[in-house]
Amino acid sequence: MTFFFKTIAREFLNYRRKPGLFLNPLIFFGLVVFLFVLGLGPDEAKLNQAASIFILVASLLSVLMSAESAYDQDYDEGSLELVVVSSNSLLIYSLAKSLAHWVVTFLPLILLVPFIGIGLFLDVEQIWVLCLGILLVSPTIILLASVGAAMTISLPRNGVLIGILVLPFYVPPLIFVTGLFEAALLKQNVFPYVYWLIALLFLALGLAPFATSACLRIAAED
Amino acid sequence: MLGWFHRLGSPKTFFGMSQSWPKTFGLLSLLLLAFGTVWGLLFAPPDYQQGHSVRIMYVHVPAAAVAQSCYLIMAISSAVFLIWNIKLADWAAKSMAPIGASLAFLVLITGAIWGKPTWGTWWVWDARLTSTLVLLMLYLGIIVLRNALEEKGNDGRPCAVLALVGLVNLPIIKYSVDWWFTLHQPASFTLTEKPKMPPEMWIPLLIMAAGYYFFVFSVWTSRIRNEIISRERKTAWAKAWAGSQ
Repeated sequence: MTFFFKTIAREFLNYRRKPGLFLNPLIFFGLVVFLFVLGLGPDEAKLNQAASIFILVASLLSVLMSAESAYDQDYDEGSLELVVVSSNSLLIYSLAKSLAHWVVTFLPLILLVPFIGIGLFLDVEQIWVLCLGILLVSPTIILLASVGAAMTISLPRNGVLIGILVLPFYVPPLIFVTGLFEAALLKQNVFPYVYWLIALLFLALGLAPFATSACLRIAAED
Repeated sequence: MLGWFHRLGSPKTFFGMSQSWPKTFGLLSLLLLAFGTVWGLLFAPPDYQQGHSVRIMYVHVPAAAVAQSCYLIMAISSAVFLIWNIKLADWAAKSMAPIGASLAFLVLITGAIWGKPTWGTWWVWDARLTSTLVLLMLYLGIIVLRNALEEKGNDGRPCAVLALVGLVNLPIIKYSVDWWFTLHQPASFTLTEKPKMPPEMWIPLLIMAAGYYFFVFSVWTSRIRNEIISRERKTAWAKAWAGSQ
């Protein structure tokens, strides 16, 4: 258990030393939302419907940016090999990394979302639902992105490659989150979609770490 | 029996065994596809609702079944490679990926062509169409990752993991028409019930499916042979084979 907490602490130290690792994706997120909004125009009615989706898709893309460097640094400096040959579990390692990644990527994002939502003419209920949707889907996104990052560790330009590999797996969570937003918009019951998202979260939590640690082991043994 | 499988894993032995396979399977597939196409286009009865546009079913449905089977075969090869470290299994998975991708693409295109006269639309974002599109994207992702890894000279094991991770999509495609009531029609064939179409329609369908399978095996073994001879070109047996051509 201490290995878990020590890995998280190490990750936070890393992010404190290089704030760009998590600030750059956040700025990227803001810019992507900005571009979407400029493309749609200032029409309030259209923005009302589409804003939640813009914010969600922008957050998906920014996760790809930050996932790129999730394991690269450890691989380059050799600490990944140390973890693999040690008696510590690679599953715990990847889970700890994913948790730290989630904290630095999605906590600031969820805190920013109300302000962005006000700027995009979302009303209070929509902002609540947006925060709920992002909260429920973000662990799944982070876990899937970590699988993609582990698969492409030593490759150059792996941000785009992670996107190509992982975006097909983002489709089911995305479908359920958009269902959530629509149900909220139409004042219907949102709980079916909440349960679906929680189910996907547990599915990812149960399966993704195994794929990630298999790929990490493959990368370290090369 | 197990010995045969074990020998199958050696590239040299497989190359020798499979000499006639591409041509044999190809010929069989040509016969079956020709027979099935002629039967389906000319002699099978038109649908009572769709008329003659149902005949594209004989291209679309077998392609869909075989595209999913190709993914399963690729995933099994990847699993064999990961578990037993048989390099030939990795090359087999690599060879299968473009075949499956082309078939998935064919499914989507013929489905759109069929959908326009019958449903009135080229495309709809229902469960089965979307998950088949996801299947195509998975195939493309595997091909892209394979290219990136080979450029760098790494081995194909992350690709094998990706193929296995994507296996969750296959039950979703198969059962999506049962779980969610959407535009695409539900399954007409199950293992437990009589088929919902008359024999004059499902026999050419099965013939076409057999033809597709033999076509895939023919192209697949031909691609594996290419892969083997290209990677083993410096060995003595490969030089001897090239010399005898």
